[in-house]
Amino acid sequence: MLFQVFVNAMIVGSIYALVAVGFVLTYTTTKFLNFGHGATVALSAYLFLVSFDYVGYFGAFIVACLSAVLFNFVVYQFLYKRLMGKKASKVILLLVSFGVLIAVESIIQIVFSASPRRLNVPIVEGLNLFGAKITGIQIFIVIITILILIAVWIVMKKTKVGLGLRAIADNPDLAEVYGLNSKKIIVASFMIAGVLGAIAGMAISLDYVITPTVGTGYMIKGFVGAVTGGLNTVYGSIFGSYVVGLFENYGAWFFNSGYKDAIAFFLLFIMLIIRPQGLFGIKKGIRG
Amino acid sequence: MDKKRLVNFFIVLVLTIVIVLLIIFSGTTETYKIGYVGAMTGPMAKYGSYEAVSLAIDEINDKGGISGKQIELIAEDGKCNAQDAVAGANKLIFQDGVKVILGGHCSPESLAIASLSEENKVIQLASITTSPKYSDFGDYIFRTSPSSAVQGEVISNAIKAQGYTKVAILFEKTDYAEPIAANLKTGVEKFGQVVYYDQYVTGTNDFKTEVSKIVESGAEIVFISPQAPDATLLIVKQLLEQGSTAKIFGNDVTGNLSVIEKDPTIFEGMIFTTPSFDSNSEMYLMFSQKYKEKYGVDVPYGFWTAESYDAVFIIANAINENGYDSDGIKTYLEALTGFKGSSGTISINALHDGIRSYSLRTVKSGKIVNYE
Repeated sequence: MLFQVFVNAMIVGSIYALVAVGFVLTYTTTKFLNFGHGATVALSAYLFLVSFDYVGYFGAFIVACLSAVLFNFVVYQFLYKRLMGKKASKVILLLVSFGVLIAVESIIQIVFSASPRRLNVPIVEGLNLFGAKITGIQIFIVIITILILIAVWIVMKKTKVGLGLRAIADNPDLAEVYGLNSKKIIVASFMIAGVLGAIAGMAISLDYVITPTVGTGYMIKGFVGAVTGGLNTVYGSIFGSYVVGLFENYGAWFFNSGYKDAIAFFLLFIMLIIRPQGLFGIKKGIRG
Repeated sequence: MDKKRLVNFFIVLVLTIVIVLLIIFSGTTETYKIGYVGAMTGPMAKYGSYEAVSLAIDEINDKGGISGKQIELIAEDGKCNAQDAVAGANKLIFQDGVKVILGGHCSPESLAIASLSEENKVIQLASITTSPKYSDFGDYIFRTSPSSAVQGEVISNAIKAQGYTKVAILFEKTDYAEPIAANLKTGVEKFGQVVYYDQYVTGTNDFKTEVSKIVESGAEIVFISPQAPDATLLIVKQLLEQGSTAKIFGNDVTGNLSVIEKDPTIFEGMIFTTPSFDSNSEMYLMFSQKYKEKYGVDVPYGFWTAESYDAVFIIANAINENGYDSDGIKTYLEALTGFKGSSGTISINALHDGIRSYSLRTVKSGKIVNYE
C-alpha cells in the first residue's frame, strides 16, 4: 500500500511540477511572483473541459493552449509591462497578479457557474501496477509531465531563447549590453509559461473535478514546490514539487489527512529558514 | 429694512429646506429593515438562499409590504465563513441598525455571528444551519433547520439493518459536517466497527491517499460528510478508480441534485439523508415555479432553498403581529407551531431549533428516489 501512496504522490506531484515550472520561468525573467499563473491554469482547465465535448482531446488541448498563450501575452502586454515601465515595485506586481487570479476566477464563476465539473469521460477502475491502482489517464499525466519537463530543460540549455532567458535572469543589464532584447525574452517566457499552464490545466481537467477556484489551490502548491526546490531553478522546482506531493501524501497516510496543507506549508517554512534559495537554488541567475 | 427682509427670507428658506429634508428622510425610514447574511459568492452560493430570500421579499413588497410598510433587504455576503459573516453582521447591527437578521445560511456563518446578535438583542433566524452547536445558543437565536445530530442516527440504523459492520467515515472539518460524522461513529460502535475515521480541510482537491487508506481498511460502507458538495464527486470518482466496492452513504449535502444529475451513473446506489419534505406539495410547487420564472433555473437545493424562502414569511408574520421589535419577534418565534411553508410545516422547539425529521433517499437508475 505504501507504493500506492507513492503513485498518488507522483500523480499530484506532476501537476504541481507543471504549475511550478511555468511560474518559475516568468519569475526568472521578471523577478516578481506571478500568482496570475493560477488564472492561466484555471482558464485552460475550463476551456479544455468545455471544448472537449466538441473537438475531442487533441482539439481541446489546442484550444486550451492557444487561449493560455494569448491570455498570458495580453496580460503581460497590457498590465505587467506597463506597470514595470512605470517602475512599479515587485510587491505591487505581486498584488496585481493576485488581482488577475481573483478576477479570472470570478469571471469563470459567472460564465460556468460554481458547480463542480468533471470531464465527460467514463470513470474506470485503475490498472494494477505492482499492487497500486493507476488509471490510463494518470499514467499519461505522469509521462507527459516528464516529457514536457525534459523539453523545457532542452530549450533552456540548447536553444537561443533558453540562453537568452538564462542571460536575462543572471544579469539583465549586461544581457542588454550584449545586444539581447530583454523585452522579447520576457514575452517569450510568458508565452512558454502559457503553454505549461495549459498543460497543467489539461491534466487537472483530465484527472480531477474542477471548480472556479481550482487555480488558487494548485498555484499555492506549485509555489511551495518551486520554493522548496529553488525559485530560480527549473529542475529544482520540478524536484521540489514532487517532494511536496510525497510529503502531503505520506503525511496523510501516516498521520491525518486534515494536516495535508499544514504539512506543505511546514515544508515551506523549514526551507525558508534553513535554505532560503531552495534545495537546488543559487543566489543569483538561473539554473537550467 | 431691506437687510431685515433678506435675513427673514434666509430664515424661511433654511427652515423650508430643513422641513423638506426631514420629510424626505422620515420617508426613507418608513421601511422595515431586514438583514441577510449568507453566501452570495463562493461554493455555498449555489444553495440559492439569497435568491430565495429576495424572491420572498419582492413578493411581500409587491403585495403592499407589512401593513403598508415595505421591507428593505440589506444583504451581506457571508461566503459561508466566520470572518465574512461577522463583518457583515457587524455592519447590519451597528451601521444599518437592523432588528432582524436572516442568517447565516450555513453553520459556520450562523455560529460565528450568534453571540454578536445575542449581545445586541438582534433576532437571528438562521436557515441551512444544522450544527448541533447552534442549539440553545441564546434568547434571540433561532433557526428553521433541525439539528443534524439526528442524521447520524438515521444512517447508522440503515447500516445496521443492512447487516454491515465495517464502516469508514470521511468528513470535512466544519461545524456542520463533523458532528454528523461523530454521531454516526457513536452509533456504529454499538453494533460494528469504525475502520477508518478521518477529516479533510475545506478546499482539499485530491483524496487519492485518503481513498487508499479506506480501501486498505476493508470498509464495507464509506460514509462521506462534506460541507461543500464539490468534494463528493471527487471522492466517489477516486474510490471507483482505486477499485473500491464499498457501498457509499452520505449526509444531506451529498444529495445535491445538480452534482448527481450530471453524473448519475457514478452515484448509482448511493444512500443519503434528506429532511423529510414533500416536493409535490402545493406550496413547494408554487415556490419552485416562481423561482424558475425569476432566475431561469430550478430550485437548486430543494428543502434548504425552500426553508430560506419560508423564513422571510415567518419574520414578516412576526413583525405584522408583534411589531418591528426584537422582543416581540422573539415571543412570536418561541410560540411558532405548525407554520405552513414551502419546505413543509415549521415549528420551533424549546432549544429554538426547527422541528423536522430526516429520511433516506437513494440513486436508482439515475434517479433520486426514496430509500425503502
